[in-house]
Amino acid sequence: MTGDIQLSCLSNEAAVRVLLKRLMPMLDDWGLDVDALATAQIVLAETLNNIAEHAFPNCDDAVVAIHVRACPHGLEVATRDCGRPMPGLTLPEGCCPDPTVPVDELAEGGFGWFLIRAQTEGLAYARKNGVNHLRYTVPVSTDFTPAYGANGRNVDSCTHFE
Amino acid sequence: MELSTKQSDGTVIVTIAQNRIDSAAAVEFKDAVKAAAQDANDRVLMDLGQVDFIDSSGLGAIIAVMKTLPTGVRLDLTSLRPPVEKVFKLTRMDSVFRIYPDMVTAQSDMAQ
Repeated sequence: MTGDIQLSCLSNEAAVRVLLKRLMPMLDDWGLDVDALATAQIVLAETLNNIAEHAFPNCDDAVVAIHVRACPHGLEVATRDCGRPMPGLTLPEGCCPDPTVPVDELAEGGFGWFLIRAQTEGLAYARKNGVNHLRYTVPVSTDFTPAYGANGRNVDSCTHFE
Repeated sequence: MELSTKQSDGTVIVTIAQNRIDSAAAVEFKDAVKAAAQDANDRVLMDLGQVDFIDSSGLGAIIAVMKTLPTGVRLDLTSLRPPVEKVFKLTRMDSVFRIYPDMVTAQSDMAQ
């Protein structure tokens, strides 16, 4: 067992669901607790669906790549796609829609980037050679021991992976 | 979209019989629940006890359903599992809905 997973899916919501159904049992095998798994799944879903929807608005069969690595401070995640760049080459602010407005004015969207920002650290975006690179860490509880730790791999490499 | 409905007085109980309300399911979910909710006179009670994952699109779909209900009909939620409850809490949407821990509590609150 390693603490390093690389998967890809096509740029549509059904394919994202299939990828998550495959990936989540692997993260479970790493020993993440239920709460960490829930956090990871929501953040991964939001980032991958954002790519499918906004980087590839008119294309359901482009490739989206994801790399997840277990590190002592959490899960390091990197995604890559060749779709449209982020507008202004910056990530959305992700303010949470206001829940105190009258019911008929409640926002029905705009929660995605809020949920990502609220549950990640080190969120970074770069556009290099026509490729979108998104990376972040999902902090998980300190009693989480990366599976590969027992295999003697160098944990310092965690912050440098692509 | 798998759901079942049960009517009792002015309440329609909608039981969501699938484990994900995600981006791929959101539109169908919204249409199915809206159709199921049409017969409610004062309350729609959505049982989410079988749902173990919801994303922002699923949350948006539940909010959209609530907004389409006629004045005087409210949407209550029951039996949220921890991953679903977490999304409602983070987004503070738990302050918008009446959320019950289980069906018995939700139904005993019918009269209010």
